[in-house]
Amino acid sequence: MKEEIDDKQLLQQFAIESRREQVFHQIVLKYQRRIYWHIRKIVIDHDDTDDLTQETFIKAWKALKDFREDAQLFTWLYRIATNEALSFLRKKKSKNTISINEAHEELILALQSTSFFNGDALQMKLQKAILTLPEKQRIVFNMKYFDAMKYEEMSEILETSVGALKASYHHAVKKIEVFFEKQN
Amino acid sequence: MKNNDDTTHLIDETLIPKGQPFLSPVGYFEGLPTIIQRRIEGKDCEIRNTGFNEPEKYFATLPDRIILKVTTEEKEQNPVKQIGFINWTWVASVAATVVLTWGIINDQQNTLIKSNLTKQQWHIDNLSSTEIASILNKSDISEEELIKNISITRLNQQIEISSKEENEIINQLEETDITSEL
Repeated sequence: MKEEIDDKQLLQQFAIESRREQVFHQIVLKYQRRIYWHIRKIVIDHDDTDDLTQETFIKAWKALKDFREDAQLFTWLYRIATNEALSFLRKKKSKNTISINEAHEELILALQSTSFFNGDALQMKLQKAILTLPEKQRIVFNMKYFDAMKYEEMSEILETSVGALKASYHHAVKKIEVFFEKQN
Repeated sequence: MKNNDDTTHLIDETLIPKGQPFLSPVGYFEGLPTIIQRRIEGKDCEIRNTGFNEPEKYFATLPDRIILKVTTEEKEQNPVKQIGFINWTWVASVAATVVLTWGIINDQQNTLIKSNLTKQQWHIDNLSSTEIASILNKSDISEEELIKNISITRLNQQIEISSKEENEIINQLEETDITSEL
């Protein structure tokens, strides 16, 4: 609730032109980590994530003047970030004309070669298992499992019904369990 | 793995005693403080779960880099906005004055040229052909035209000469014929 009030104050102050940069700096400071990690879990590579995080905030800056408070600021930012990350992956696929399997392999390769991974073997295994999931299921799983997000919030961000999200998460968990069983 | 907030998939249904449908999932209460903490913080807690990390001081510099990019892009895209509304009004009024002044000067020049042309026309109308001829110099007539005119004149003269000579010869012949007959 506190977060909501703060966001409202930030948005009110953002409307004052002389304070815009300062307020936007505060918004970035507040949400940069959540947005970065949300994108990172989708595109894996740090440099790509860095570009997409910046792009997300640039788009937010441009559209923030017309932002209506019928949505929460953070769900709105998450939505921009999700769209940016998904369209990045699609562009990459169409540019390299690769199949879905090849795209998964590329992501696994990026996971194995990234220098910004300090997790243990089990965490690596979990990431590999997550990468075998279809894009949407992967996002749903990440948001629920790692970000502890409520289904209602996820529904607002992904514009999908709560029921469909629950089903998606259930399927994702089952697939990951199967992956772990096979590995063992 | 222990930090999983939604542990429903870990429930072994055979372990749930019948008649106790509200039994909590295995390991739920052990994980609960972490879940609450994660929901309060909502920040970097997910790093330890995913295994990913970011470059050193990455988040310390990110806001400044974004602000720099945003402001630079905005200035590049909209130079008019950069001038500012008041300054832009000044620039617009100066530009309008320049255009207006140029228009007035241009109009005056046009009137002057028009008047001069009328005067020249009137002057030519009142001259005789000899006077006009005396005004015109060689450069007023193109060289090509001049050559053409000369050639035609010469040709005409040649024809005239030729026809005269022919007449003379005929006359001579006629005279000779008459004499010989005699």
